[in-house]
Amino acid sequence: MSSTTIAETGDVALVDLLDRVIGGGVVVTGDVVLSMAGVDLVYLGLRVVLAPAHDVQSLRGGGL
Amino acid sequence: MTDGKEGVLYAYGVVERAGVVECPSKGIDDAPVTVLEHDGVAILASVLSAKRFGARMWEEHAEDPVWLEEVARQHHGVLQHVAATGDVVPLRMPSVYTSEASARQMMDSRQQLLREAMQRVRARLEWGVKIYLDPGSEGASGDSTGERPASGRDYLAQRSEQATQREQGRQQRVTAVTQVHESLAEAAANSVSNPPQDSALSGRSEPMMLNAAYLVDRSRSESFAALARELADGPCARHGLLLEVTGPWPVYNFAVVPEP
Repeated sequence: MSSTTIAETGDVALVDLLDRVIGGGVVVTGDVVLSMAGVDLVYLGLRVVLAPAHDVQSLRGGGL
Repeated sequence: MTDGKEGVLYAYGVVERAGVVECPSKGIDDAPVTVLEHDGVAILASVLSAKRFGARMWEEHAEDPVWLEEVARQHHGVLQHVAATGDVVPLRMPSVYTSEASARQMMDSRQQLLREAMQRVRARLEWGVKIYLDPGSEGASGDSTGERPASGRDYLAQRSEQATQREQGRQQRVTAVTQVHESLAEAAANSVSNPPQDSALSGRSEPMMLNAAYLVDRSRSESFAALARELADGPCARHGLLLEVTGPWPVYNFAVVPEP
């Protein structure tokens, strides 16, 4: 990644983005709270979505 | 700004005041981004459709990565745009208020914490550094030495020596990672070492040995990135470690304020 320019939004890896957007930042009491449990649920959901692609890759890596 | 039934107020981050930051033309759902000031505190905000971004929608989409990713990218886009030229303290997604009055109440009650967060990150940006174990180099110090053991005892001795070498290599790598992190932390105003990312989410099968973020003065941003690249080519390469730099980011990792 270029060191001098701020990265375009599209270049940012999803896991890096979510770690920061829902894992970082100031927590203020809003009228809507994505609780810590909610954050875990987001990752759980993502894992389910991403798992099939990941499995295919590891199969390929295994020489099949 | 509405105080009404059909809109919710979505807050992206805290800024010094209106006029000192460059707002992007569009935020989440293409809504205009404005600065809402209240008694010495200011937030970047958009009025969004309550139908699409009200509390119920967040509950409904709490486990919907596709919906969340889109909103998260737009949230980040606003902060990234502002951070390019000015200071902003990110708020955790989602910070949604049913009315402007409710948002003002938050600014009232959290005024001191928000000001302190702003002080900590003023004129600073965040860099991310991840270090992975290079799978190629680990294989290079693997099991086969080519020499066939003459006896069972030789075989066991060989295995034991290999295990010792692997353990030494592992310890040297851990030491190298610690030293790289310390060098970067010294060049930064603050640093944080986060837990390694789940490989299912990152799509990387190599073990992650460092997942850190650094708070860096804007004036030293270039030299920090140069230092990271030096460490990547020097100690990391020597120990079979892959170092990756991302950034500069808005200061997500250094905005966290504990709940009272």
